[in-house]
Amino acid sequence: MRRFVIAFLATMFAVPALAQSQLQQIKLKPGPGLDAVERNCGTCHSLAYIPMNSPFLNAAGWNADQGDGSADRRR
Amino acid sequence: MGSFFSAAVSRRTLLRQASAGAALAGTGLSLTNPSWAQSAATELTPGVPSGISSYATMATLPGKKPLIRLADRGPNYEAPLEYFRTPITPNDEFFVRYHLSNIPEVDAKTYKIAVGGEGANGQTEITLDALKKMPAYEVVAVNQCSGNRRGLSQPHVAGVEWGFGAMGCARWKGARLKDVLATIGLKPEAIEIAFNGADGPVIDKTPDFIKSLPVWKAVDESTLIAYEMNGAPLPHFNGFPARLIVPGWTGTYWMKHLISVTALTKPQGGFWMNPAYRIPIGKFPVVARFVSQENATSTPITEMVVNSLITSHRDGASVKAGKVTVSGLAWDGGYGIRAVEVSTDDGKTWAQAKVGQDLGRFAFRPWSFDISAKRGKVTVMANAINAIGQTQTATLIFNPAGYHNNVMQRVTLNAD
Repeated sequence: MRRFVIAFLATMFAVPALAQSQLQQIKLKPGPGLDAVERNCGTCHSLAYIPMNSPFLNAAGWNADQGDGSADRRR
Repeated sequence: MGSFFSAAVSRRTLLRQASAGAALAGTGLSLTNPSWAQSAATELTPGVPSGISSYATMATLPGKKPLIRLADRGPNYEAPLEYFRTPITPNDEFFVRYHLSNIPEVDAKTYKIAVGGEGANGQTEITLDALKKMPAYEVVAVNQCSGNRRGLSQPHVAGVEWGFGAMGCARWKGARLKDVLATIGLKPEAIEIAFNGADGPVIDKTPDFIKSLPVWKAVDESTLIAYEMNGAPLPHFNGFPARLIVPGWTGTYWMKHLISVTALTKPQGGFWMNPAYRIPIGKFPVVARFVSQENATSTPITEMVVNSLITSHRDGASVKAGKVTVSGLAWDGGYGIRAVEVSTDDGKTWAQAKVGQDLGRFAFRPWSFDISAKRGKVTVMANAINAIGQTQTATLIFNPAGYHNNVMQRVTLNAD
């Protein structure tokens, strides 16, 4: 029984930890407001959209409504 | 819809999805496949924005082979070029595309599709069993994201920066949408049929992903509610247990995890109908129109433009001088591929490629062509022509969302 419980607990903890390690780890450039960006953008979607679009998007591009309410939240 | 459906599915996060997948580690569906963390740099389509290579990896979702992970939440994974060497894309190689991050694992036992709306004579709920008892039809059809190749737009435009791989072709089996609608009957004033899926936004301010079709396309005999993909249940990430199949039209209409079908007497509103998924009026040679959604400047994207992809070789590949067989796929919006031509002299002269197996007018059509490569560089171009005489374009037809990119590809081979 005890062995079963330990095995069960190991499963409970091991699986989410594994899943966590598989999530995208996106490192943004440090700077003022970084935590706000991570929070506001990352609540709804992967931060990957930032490096994906950053080499070419200007301020107007970032402020355009992408349908996720994010432009609203910036206003 | 929402209240009835919340009882029918258990809402689970993608994270839990992933952990469920991890439990499959011993079954060959491993998430711990070492390739999951491999950089995708060599698999990226040449020309996509440089930022992608800073983070994109090959990643393995539960039940999938490694795909190019552009974003994990919502999940947006494209297929590498090697997965396009057959006209049917296996389920575990099929691309994954979601707008929203809240994706429930739908329980097939309690799953129902609510059918009704102002434009219908009644309302009903259809279970998966009931759907399977209706007359079944099969169609081989390409599902291509509207934004496939967006990453190749010049200048670049905002969005998911897809290369070549946001598409696939499968044999879909299901009931005809027209038969489902006939169970309640449409009123003469019905103009559109709207669709919702079980996936939803994280916060209420984000508009739910709801799409509509004109009635004429909804009741087309090829439009299905499919519960099988290549002879197997739909993979979770491709819309289990049932999704809409709209052959010829871009993927935005192919609603996954379909939970409602609503007949409308007024045009469907909302972000995902306008301003999203629109093309400028008059710029593209498309035949299929969505009149109730047109305005003075834009119209919803509808059918796919004729296109092809060289899949045997990557740009810059090394080959042995002599006979080299170049091959690929061609497809269009459902008129069918009439011919594929290949040029090795910058488009000055063209020769007919050999077209392969015909799996139907909505399917990928394989083609191949033997070139005689002298030592040095040779650039191969391909151009598909459909049954109504449309061809690919030599230069990009720029549009702000980066849709309908069917510029003839140029692949340079280094022969020695």
